Amino acid sequence: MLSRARAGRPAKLVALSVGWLLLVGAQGTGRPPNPILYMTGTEHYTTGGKDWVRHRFDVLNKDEYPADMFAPAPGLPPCGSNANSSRSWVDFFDSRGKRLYGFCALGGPDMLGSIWFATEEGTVPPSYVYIEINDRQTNTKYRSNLADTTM
Amino acid sequence: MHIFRSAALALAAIAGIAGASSPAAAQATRTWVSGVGDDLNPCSRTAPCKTFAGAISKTAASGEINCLDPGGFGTVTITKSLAIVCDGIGGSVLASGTNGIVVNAGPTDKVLLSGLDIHGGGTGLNGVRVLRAESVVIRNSIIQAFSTPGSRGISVEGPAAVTVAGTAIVNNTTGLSGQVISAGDNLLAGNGSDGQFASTKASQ
Repeated sequence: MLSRARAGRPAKLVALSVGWLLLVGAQGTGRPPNPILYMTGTEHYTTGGKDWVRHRFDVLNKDEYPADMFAPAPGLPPCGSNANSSRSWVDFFDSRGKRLYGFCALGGPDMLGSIWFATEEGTVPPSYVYIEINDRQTNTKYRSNLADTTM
Repeated sequence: MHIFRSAALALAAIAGIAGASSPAAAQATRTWVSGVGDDLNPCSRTAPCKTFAGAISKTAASGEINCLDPGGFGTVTITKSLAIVCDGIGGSVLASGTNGIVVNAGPTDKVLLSGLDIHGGGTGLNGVRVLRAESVVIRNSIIQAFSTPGSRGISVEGPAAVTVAGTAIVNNTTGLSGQVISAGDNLLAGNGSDGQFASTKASQ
C-alpha cells in the first residue's frame, strides 16, 4: 500500500508540472483575458431637459490590458468625425445583445475603470449588461461576464 | 360593392381576432424579486424579477411584491395601492444621489413597505418620500445614511396618513419631516435632527 502511494507521487508531480506548463503557455500567448465587469454605482444628472441615470462600471482586470490597445489609431476607420479614435473600442450590450452605448476614444486601459451607460430616469435598465472590447487592429473581441445593474 | 364590403368585413374580423389573441400585459397579484432575477422575467416565483421598479409594472393594483432572497432591488416610485414585503429576507434599496422609495399614488391608494433596508449611501435625497396616498405604512425597516444637506429619512410632502412601526431611522440629516405617526418600537438615532412624530397610536 505504502509502495503504491510512493509510486503515485512521480505521476502526480508530472501532472502538476504539465498543468503549470499549460498555464504558463496560455499566459505566454500574449492574449489579454476577457474583461471582468462589475458595477460601481449610479449617478443622477440632467441634460437636454431630461433626467438621466448614469450606471457606472469598472473592469477588475483592466491592468492586464496593454496600453497600446488603446492608443490613437489614425490608420483605422474613424469614430464619427474623430479620426484619432483608439485602436480598441468598448461597447455595452444588454443580455440579449442589444447595443446600449460605446466608447471609441478611451485613452488607456485605466479608463476601463470609469465606463458607463445611461438610461432615462424612470426607465428600468436592463438587469444585466456585458461589454465587448473590440481590438480593431487584430480584429479580436474580448467579451465580459454579465454584470448586475443594481447594488 | 358587395365584394368590397365582404372583404372589409373579413379584414375587420381578422383584425379583431389578431387583437384578441395579442398577448395582454397581465399583472399578477403577487410578484417576486431576487438578487439573481431578471426584469425580463414575469416576476413569478420561479422566474423572479431583479428590481422593484421592474416588478411594479407586472404587479396588479393592491398586489404585493415579495423578496425571495437578500439583494439590492433598486429605487422605485409607487403609483398605486401596493405592498412590498421582504420581512426576514433583507430587501435592500440603495439610493445614492436619489430618493429611495417615492409614493405618488392616488388619493384612495394604500401602500405598505415592510422588511426593507433603505440606504442613502451618504448621498441619497430622501429614504421614503411621500407625495400622495390615502395611507402609507412603513414597518420593520431601516432607513439610513441619507446624510447630504436637506436629506431626510422620511419626508411627507403631501396628503397621506403615514404610519411607522418597528423601524430604525438612523444617521440621516433629518430623520422625519412632515406628519408621521408612530405606531411604536421605532428608533430615531444618529440623525442631525431627529424630527418628531406627529402623534403616537397603538401598535399595528
